[in-house]
Amino acid sequence: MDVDTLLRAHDPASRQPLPGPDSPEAISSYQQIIGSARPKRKAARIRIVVGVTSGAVAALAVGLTLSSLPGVTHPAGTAIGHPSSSASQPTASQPTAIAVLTAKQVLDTAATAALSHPGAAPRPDQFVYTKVGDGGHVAQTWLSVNGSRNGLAEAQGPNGTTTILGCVDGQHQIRTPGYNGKPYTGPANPKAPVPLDGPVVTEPCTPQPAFFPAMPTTASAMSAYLAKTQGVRLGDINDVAKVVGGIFQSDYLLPAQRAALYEFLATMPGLTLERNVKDVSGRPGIGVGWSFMGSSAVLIFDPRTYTLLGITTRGQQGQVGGDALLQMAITNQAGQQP
Amino acid sequence: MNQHVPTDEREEQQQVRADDGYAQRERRFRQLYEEHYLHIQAYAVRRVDVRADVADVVAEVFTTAWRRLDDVPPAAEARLWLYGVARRVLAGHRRGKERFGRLIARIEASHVAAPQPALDGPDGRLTRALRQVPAAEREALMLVAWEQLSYAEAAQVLGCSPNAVGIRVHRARARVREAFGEPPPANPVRQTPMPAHTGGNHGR
Repeated sequence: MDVDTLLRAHDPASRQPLPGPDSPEAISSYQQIIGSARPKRKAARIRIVVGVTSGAVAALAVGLTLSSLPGVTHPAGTAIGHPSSSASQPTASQPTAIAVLTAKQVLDTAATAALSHPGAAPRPDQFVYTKVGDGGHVAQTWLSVNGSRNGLAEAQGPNGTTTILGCVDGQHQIRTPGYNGKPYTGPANPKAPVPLDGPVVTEPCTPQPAFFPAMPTTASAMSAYLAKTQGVRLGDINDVAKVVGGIFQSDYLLPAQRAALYEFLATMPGLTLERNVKDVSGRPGIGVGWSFMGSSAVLIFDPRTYTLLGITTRGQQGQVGGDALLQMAITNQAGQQP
Repeated sequence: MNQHVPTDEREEQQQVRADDGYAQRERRFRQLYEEHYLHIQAYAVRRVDVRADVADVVAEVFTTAWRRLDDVPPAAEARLWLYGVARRVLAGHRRGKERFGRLIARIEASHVAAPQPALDGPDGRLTRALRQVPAAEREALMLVAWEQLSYAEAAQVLGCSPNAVGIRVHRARARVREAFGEPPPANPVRQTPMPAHTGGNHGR
């Protein structure tokens, strides 16, 4: 068998014509790429300086004391304060509205708030429970703390409940597509989904932990950690923010780890303050945003508690996506409600 | 000396120079874009799971090229340079996708053997066979079979020696054949003729 010939016969790029460089999408992309780098001309020689002095900024800054946010203590089943849908409801012990001037101040404040939460490392045999919403549907997941046990994902709609396979000794078993234990032999592009009811096969895998004990607890150590473990391009705000956003979304963090991530993110240039934003479930917040390739994304925080509410993205055509982070907790079993 | 030129005139001269430099850069970039857009697009189509992600990957590759235009080598080597960027962008894309939508990604990982919009024949065996091939070997095979690069060219993209590419491709082919239940060929080292300009496994 000539493997190369076989591959060429099934080349995904030859299945349908690809749009060329003169296509509307290619031209639009080209213009966006070069548009951001055009040399800026001085519009006029009017020299009006708009701004405030550092003294004025300092005078406008508001001191913060955050010491009594809802916290995290877990024995299993105890809800974790970060993130939490209840965090958007102010209580007498929570700070009232905080005036901030910059994205960095939002992140620094969030770091301070995170440190006020108690927190302890979960046991390796436990699960990180996460509840997220996209504004219409709610999904719950139970992810193995060390990636070795089978987790669970529950989503509304036709996908229902899915087992997230744990990885033991570098292997897991999966059931392949098919019917009644026999492999699927139908067309290459099935019209309807094929059930995973074929033969069970063993495949190599890498454990996917939901908690990383080795993650640093200082901002200064975070950049090297992210570069080493995630391959983050430290000069690329989009890459950094995407990775950090993903960690917030799905991993359990100790308070000091969360604070360090916020403080690390605060050192990145290119972040903008976004006032009066809402997460995809409609909760109002204050945001830290960044732009990339004509799209944008924003981390949204509760404006009183500075708990992370979620991440919202906006595509080139204005399409909105993202998740609202509703609850995170530690449980002893997959499927167990906290 | 600049200090003897009136400020307005000096700024105007600087502006003209900036405009000229920009125009030259844009001309070169436009040529690069027109010449290699389809190649990079095809590279992405062959490697991403979601077709909608292709445009993002291509745009990121060319954004990198625009930013680092001075680093882009001339002529044919530019495509290899762009493939190298695309490879890193895709690695970051997968990582970012995994992290950013990690919950979804984990579910997808659990369904690793589910039929993708298949790249192969009636039983999906090629798809499954390729997934069994270690990533480094698979990428070497894809570069040779799909991008039709010589071992020496693939070595430039992968940052290894042409000999290493040859070994990886050989192993990848063997693994695919094994997945199809076929014995190794009589001449296990080279299955398809090497492009003439490569100088064999030693390349350039």
